[in-house]
Amino acid sequence: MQRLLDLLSRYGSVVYFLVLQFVGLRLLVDRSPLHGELYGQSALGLAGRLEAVEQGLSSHFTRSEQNRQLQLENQALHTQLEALKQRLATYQYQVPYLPGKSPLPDSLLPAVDYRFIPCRAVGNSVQGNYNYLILNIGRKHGVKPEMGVISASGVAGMVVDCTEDFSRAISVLNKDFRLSGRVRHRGVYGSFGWDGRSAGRGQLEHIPLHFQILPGDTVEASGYSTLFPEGTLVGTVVRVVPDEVSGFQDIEVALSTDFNKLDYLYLVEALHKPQLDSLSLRAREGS
Amino acid sequence: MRRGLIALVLLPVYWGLQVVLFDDTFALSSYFQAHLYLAFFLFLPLGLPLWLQYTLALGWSMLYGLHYPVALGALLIGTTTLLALRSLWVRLVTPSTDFADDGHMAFGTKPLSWCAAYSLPLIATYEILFQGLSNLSLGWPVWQRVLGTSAYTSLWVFAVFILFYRKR
Repeated sequence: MQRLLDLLSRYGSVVYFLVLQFVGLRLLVDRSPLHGELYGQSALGLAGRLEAVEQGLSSHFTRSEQNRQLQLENQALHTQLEALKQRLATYQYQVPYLPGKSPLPDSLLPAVDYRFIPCRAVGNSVQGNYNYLILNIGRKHGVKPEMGVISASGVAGMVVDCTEDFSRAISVLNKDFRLSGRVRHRGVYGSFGWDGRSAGRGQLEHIPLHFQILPGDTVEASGYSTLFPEGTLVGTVVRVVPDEVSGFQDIEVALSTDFNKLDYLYLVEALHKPQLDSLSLRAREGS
Repeated sequence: MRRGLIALVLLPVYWGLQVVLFDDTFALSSYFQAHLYLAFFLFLPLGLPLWLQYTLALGWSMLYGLHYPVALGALLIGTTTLLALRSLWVRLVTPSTDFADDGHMAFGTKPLSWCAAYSLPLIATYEILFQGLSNLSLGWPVWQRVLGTSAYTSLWVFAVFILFYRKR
């Protein structure tokens, strides 16, 4: 008790001064509209910044679960998108030829051609000429060789081998990777690959000279192979070099997928692939 | 006796000048006012306990706030800071021949040095704090008020000092 009294006698006037300063500030804010407004704005700004920091900290710990949820949502959206594309194509090309122009019944509408399986890259190489990805799903999850691999940004690679629990895919940054690509809105098709010179750039080949291709044009999967759905983004044209000798243009494409940041991916299963493969095989045997 | 009479006569004259002439006729209160209540705080005995001085400042602010509520907060902050600075200043300058041992101000000092070393700096500090808080600015119009009010208030405080406190 004596100590408390000693403390009060030493610092009591300082504490009293601070209390009165606080009371004065409070009265200033309460009684003056100008000061009240300024205080309100400052308090709101400070509260907003504190909330942003708190949200950043808490989301750091829940991010992996959020990413998993987002990946599942994306999977559903990819499937829905393919279904809608199919239906749109059906109505565009088939309805005008039906007698009486009546719409097709649901049972005759084509089913979804693609199924998307979410996965994560647990290994990724970008330094060599034959780079690959290791994925955290395998045969028991339904993975098969020659399945396409896509990221949220576009084409990523193709599965070449799998075990029960894991799979290996060659990435776009692999000289063995080839894809049938097309330049959107130009209606021209070519062969896309990677020449090993630049980690972020691929090459679209066999585009005739008479097609005007401009930097900024979008390159996408043509859908001719069963690897990727039609329209899957490959990249953007950055350079066009005409080759008068061959009669084609060399087109350099900036890849849409950042291979230094690969994490959440999807495997693309073409549901009609077995039928298409058997038709191709019969065609080759016949010729 | 004579001093008291002079004060009784001068005080209403001052009020008349301030309200009728300076405020109403010339509208000079935008540029300077006499915060004569500062004289009350500056002339408080230095030996008075600080908590009591703060309580007097709180009481005066509440009274003033009945008439002018918007300025209540700034007045409380300004007067308590003035008293705190005054107490600090006294500790810094004592022991000095200007102050008696019992802590009461010995007013035998030269008026000009008393004004320059004591009243004017404290009044100016108070005005900067009060005007700055009230207007949320220290731009030139606010500085005009600070300078005008500080000079005007100092003149009146100086006059009170000459009439009532200077030892002859």
